[in-house]
Amino acid sequence: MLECVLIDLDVNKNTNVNELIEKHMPFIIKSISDVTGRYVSCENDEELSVGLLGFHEAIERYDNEKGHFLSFAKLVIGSRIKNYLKGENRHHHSSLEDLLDKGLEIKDEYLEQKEDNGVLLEQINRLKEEISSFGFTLEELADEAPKQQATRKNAISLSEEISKEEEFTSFMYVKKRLPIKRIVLKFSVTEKVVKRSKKFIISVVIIIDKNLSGLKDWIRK
Amino acid sequence: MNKGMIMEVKKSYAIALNDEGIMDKISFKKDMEVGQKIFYFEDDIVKATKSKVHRHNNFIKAFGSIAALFLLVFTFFNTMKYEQAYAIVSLDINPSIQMEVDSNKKVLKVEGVNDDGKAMDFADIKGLDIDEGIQQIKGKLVEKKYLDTNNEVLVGVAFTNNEDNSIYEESLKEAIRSTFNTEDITYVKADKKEVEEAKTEGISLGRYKAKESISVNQEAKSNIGKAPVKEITALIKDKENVIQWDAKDEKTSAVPEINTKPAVKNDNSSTNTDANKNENKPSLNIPTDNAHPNVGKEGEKETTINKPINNEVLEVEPEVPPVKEPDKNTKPTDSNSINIDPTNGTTENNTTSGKNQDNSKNNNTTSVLVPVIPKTDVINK
Repeated sequence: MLECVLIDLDVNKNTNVNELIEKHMPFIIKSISDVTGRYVSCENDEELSVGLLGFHEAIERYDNEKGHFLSFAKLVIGSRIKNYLKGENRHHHSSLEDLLDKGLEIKDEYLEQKEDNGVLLEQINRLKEEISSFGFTLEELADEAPKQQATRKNAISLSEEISKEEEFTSFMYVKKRLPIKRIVLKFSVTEKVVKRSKKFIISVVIIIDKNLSGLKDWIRK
Repeated sequence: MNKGMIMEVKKSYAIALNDEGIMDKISFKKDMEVGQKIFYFEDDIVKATKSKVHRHNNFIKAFGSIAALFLLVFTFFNTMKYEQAYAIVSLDINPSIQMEVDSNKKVLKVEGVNDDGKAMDFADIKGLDIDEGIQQIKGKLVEKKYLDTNNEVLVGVAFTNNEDNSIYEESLKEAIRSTFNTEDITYVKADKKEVEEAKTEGISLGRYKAKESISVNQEAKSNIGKAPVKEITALIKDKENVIQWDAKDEKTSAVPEINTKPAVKNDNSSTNTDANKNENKPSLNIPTDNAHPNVGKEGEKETTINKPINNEVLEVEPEVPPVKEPDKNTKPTDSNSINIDPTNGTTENNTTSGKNQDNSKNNNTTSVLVPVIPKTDVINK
């Protein structure tokens, strides 16, 4: 029962089921991922619904004699997911509607509408082409992208500024490099900042300038 | 937990752009697609440089371990070689002690051969240089008072590979002589075969060699394992390959008189007789006259001993009478010089500088420097 769960987890007794689920979302996703061996997709994923149902079931069936709640929940989620994978038909009905029926609300954050993957794919490929014309790959970009959130935000906003300046973008596309000196003068940033994250800035400028909407939304969110 | 969009899928990892704009490399899991939006966790992230470093590390590790292996193997073999005894040195005073020495003159092993020797503890000598080792041994002997009653040392040396390293041997001799400078030393050279035979008989190399050399006296032969060193040395002093150095007096006097041996044989007297003889005779060591047992023996070993002398001074003295006594005392300081006393027709190979000085003072003679060996031989004859 919920009370037992709350005692076991040592959380505020007034916590309701939705809050509990919200709090344990990463745990649920991790449990699913462990069983399936896949990453859990964010987009209206059946597995996620099954996992959530499993978690809910675990809460209802739990009492303090069954050991720790989390390990118990993990077992329940695991077995539900396995059943689901074995024969999707049997659990065909388990979907978001079921969750809603049971009074569970899932934040939109976890249930994104499935976009047209084709467009996104195209945009990603476009980005790859562009940056490879600048002489680096996504991999290098991943290695060199600024790790600090503040630095990254600075770089993104700087990129936005740059992309507004026709002068700079055209220079960038022609010369395949950033007009660092002029950027430094114009936006009064230090040269170091620009140089350090130039690949990242170039990529963001490309994304904005080429209007790769899928990626742009993703980054800005 | 992060949400990421998969940008690129590679063999062992994928690149995901998370919603904060960070590109993460995440470990590969099945069913990944470019463009897919997924949840991933910190433990899925492959550290940016990790993969490269990892591979690099592997390479280094592999290389390193191979190198280490080689190192290990080679050092192992090397030490094996190293550990092999290069020379065997036996010391008989009583106790009998046998040492194994490697080619760097490090003592590999010291063991007592007879009961007295076995009763001593030589553990701390192992690994020392030979001269140091011998000094330590002497220290132990003095401590146990063995040297109070015996002042004769029988030394046996053999090279295990039968090669003749005269430089090495010389340094061994030097080490022994300088250490047992107050004892009479009898030095015998043996070979590898004799080392093993000595071992099977359970006696020291020196004794074995002595036994070998004594062909006549059967009784003595059978007793040689136990006989006092003094007797042994007396028995073998005139044999081939035997060198003797007396205590203080004579350490260095190695006169290359080969012909004198017969004369010497008659002399059973111990080294102490030297003094008397010296007193009687004007010249120090007169092989022809008499018999300094030690001289005779030394003479036999001539080759090795003479070497140092070559460069040295031959002093010709008109007369040298009562010099002997003082000489004794002064002897310990060595310089290899030879005094030839024309009057007596005898030569003295005197390595002690003290002697020379004395002689020169007493005689005030002009000393003639002559290359030693040839002359002395002639003179002796």
